[in-house]
Amino acid sequence: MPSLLEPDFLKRLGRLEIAARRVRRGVRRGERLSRRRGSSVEFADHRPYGAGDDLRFLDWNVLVRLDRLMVKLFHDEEDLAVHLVVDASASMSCGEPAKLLYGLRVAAAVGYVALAGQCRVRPAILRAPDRAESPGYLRGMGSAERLLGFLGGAEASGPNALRGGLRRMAAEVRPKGVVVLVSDLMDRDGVDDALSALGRGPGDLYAIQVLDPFEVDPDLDGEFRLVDSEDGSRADVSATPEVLRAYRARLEAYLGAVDLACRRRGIRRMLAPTSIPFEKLVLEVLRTRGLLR
Amino acid sequence: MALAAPVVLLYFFRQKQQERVVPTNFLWAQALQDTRTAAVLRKFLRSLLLLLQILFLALLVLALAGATASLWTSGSTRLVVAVLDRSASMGTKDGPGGGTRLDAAKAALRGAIDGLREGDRMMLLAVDERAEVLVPFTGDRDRLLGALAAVEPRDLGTDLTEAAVLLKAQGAAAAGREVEVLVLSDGAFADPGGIEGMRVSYVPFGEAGDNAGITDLRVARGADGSPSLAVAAEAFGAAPLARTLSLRLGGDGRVLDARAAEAPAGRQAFVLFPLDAVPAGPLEVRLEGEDAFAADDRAFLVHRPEPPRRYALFGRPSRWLRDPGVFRAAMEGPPAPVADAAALTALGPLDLLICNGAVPDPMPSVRAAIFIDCVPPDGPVKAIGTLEYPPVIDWSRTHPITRHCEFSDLLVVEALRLDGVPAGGVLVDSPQGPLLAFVETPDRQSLFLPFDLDRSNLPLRLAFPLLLPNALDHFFASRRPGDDEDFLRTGRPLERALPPGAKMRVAPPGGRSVEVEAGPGGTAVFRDTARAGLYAVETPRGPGFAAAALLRRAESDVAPRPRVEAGGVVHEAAPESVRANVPLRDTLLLLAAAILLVEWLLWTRKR
Repeated sequence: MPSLLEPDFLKRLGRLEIAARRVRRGVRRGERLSRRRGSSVEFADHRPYGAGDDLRFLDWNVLVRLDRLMVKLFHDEEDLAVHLVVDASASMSCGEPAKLLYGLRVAAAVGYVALAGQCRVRPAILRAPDRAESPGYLRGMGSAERLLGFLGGAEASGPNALRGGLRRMAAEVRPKGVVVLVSDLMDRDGVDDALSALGRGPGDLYAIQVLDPFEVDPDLDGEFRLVDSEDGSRADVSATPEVLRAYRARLEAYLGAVDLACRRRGIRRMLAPTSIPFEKLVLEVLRTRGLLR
Repeated sequence: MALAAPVVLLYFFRQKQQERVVPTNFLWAQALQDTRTAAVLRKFLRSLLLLLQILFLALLVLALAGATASLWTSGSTRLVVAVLDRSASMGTKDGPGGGTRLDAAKAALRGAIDGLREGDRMMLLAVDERAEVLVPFTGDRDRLLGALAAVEPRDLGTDLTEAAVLLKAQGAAAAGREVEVLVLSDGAFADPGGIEGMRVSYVPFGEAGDNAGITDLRVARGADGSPSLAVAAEAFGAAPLARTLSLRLGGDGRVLDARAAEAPAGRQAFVLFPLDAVPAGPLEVRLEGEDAFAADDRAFLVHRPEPPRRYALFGRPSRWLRDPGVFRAAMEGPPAPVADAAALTALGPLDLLICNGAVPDPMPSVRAAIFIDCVPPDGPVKAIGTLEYPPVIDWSRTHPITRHCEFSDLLVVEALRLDGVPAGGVLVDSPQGPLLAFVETPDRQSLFLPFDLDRSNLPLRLAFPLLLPNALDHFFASRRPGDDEDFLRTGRPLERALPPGAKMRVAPPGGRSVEVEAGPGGTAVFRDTARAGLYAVETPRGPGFAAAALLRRAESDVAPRPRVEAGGVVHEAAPESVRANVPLRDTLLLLAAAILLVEWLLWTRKR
């Protein structure tokens, strides 16, 4: 999808893979080493021999050297489910570039890496009140175009979709594996309740919070009427230093609350202001934060 | 209001909001909530700033328009009499900006006139020693201001008596309405009497208290008959008098004499200028140096040296009356008595005739006559018999003729019994009649000694050599009706004895000459002598001068009075009474600047 990811960038993505911390059993064998000991050729560990164990896996070298019966354990290879959940509420339409576009490109990049790694990728677009549009699981590089096409067709609209969309998604599928939530996580009621829909399972949960620089450091001066993109409410603001200070304090407190809610649910949250170049985010930040490697 | 419109428009233009779509504004709403108190204050300040700007503009416009505040706020219309002192002391230059007190009073009164409201009436009364209604009650400000502008200080004293009479008349005509009297003066006047039914406000003017001035002049003659000018000068206030008095020619100001005038503060210094060598004509006495009140630093007079007096003795010879010239200088006459009337007529006009035992027939016209043991037939005094050994019972000790004379031991063998002597003319009295009498008629001064000197002991008494000089001084040294004066005090009429219908032309100092005509009584009178200085006088007798001098001690004491009395009621200074309109320009400009400063502070605080 040229509009989301450039071909040169796709080549660079080909060298990356999803770095799931807690691999989940998939439904098909994949390229990922499962923690479940299996029949792959990659050694994992030893354990004392027990009656009934397959003698083919007895480690003869250990027996000879230590005179102990030890069975070799191998990593099982299985596929990995990667859920790409993108919030497409109207608030994501703001900014230059728009937060949604930025988030979609992030999701597309992660999805492309996942597809390249033989993972099953399930993209989903959250819409209010409780919709989670998704083409279903995609697998293999042949699905990359479909993935990018699906994501590229998303448009931001409507009120906040995080709570209802996540619940709907959770009701439709059990998001196991890696869940990457791309959203601005801006909800006047807080995101704690919405994030609870993701549960606290054994999967890897990531939240990429996309914010416009204006939200992080508003450069207002003068009298403004600020119109909420989602509900149309208005706030008359005299952009005085005092008000700006109060806003920054409120933003910091809100982001702190979001961070706390994420921590409670084992969600690794990454702040992604759109001022950070997208390539840098994917190639450096997501790798640094352990989503990609 | 029109000027405020752009400010308001600019204000709203400046305050126009920009609308901006943001992802969500709930954090902004919370931030605003957090700063609600500050926001309320800010909104208030925003409105306040607008108000302050409009207020600033309004104050600026008012200041530039010369706004004033009216202090006269009573509901009913007012009747105001402005009594403006234009006496000499109001010319003291101690007012604001080097102006005179009268300038300050006029400025204050202008404010009061400007403050007259619809229905108010004001009368303008100028006072010095007289009162003059410049403008009767009117609400016409222009008329009042025009009359006020023409008021100038005059070299006169202050006397509010006439003004009080006028005010009483106005009060009676006010038909029950209260008349407010504003007295604008330095307070140098005596109690003029009560002004009932009026609210009197005394508005004082003046700052200076120290002044020195010439307070009196007198041309005197010494014992030898030599004339001299006595000048009294005095310092008022705390400083002693230490100035120089100079005597100058009135024409070219050339200094003829100069003498120190020194006296402690509050005391008079008397300086004597001999006039023997001073030529006849106008003179000026000047107190050298400067002070705030200049009008009393100069005085003017006309030196008129006494002409030689011609005398004659008539009747029987007397060893006691051989030469009157020994008693007084400048007496000319034959040493021997004249025996008959024809010889007397041949002597020409006489000033003094001494008749001893006989009276010439006809009696010549003389200025003075001494009748010894005789009585003229044409006078009011008659001889109605004789007195033998009349005892002296009393004599006048105050009359100039009997001054310093002792008559208790006077012995007279026989004297004429005089009749027709007025009560004030008896100088030495006996039970039967006067032994010495002085009678003054329009054409003659007559001294009667109704006894033969040789039949009395008077020539042997000390009183005799005093009596005759006293009489001669009294005859000739004092002014007589018809004599030209040495000087007159300003405001006094200038009179010249002229034939009825004769013309007199007078040119006041710095003024246009005026012609007056002598009346049937034989006197031409010029009354407008309110200005001190030399007046050129031209009469059929020829050109001459008259001099007018201020010489008013009360005016020279220029210290402003904090209170005045009227009818025994003390009126304290009430300068605010005249401030009907207070000029607000400076106050408004100050306020505008302060508002500008406050606005700037609020604006920076808001930022």
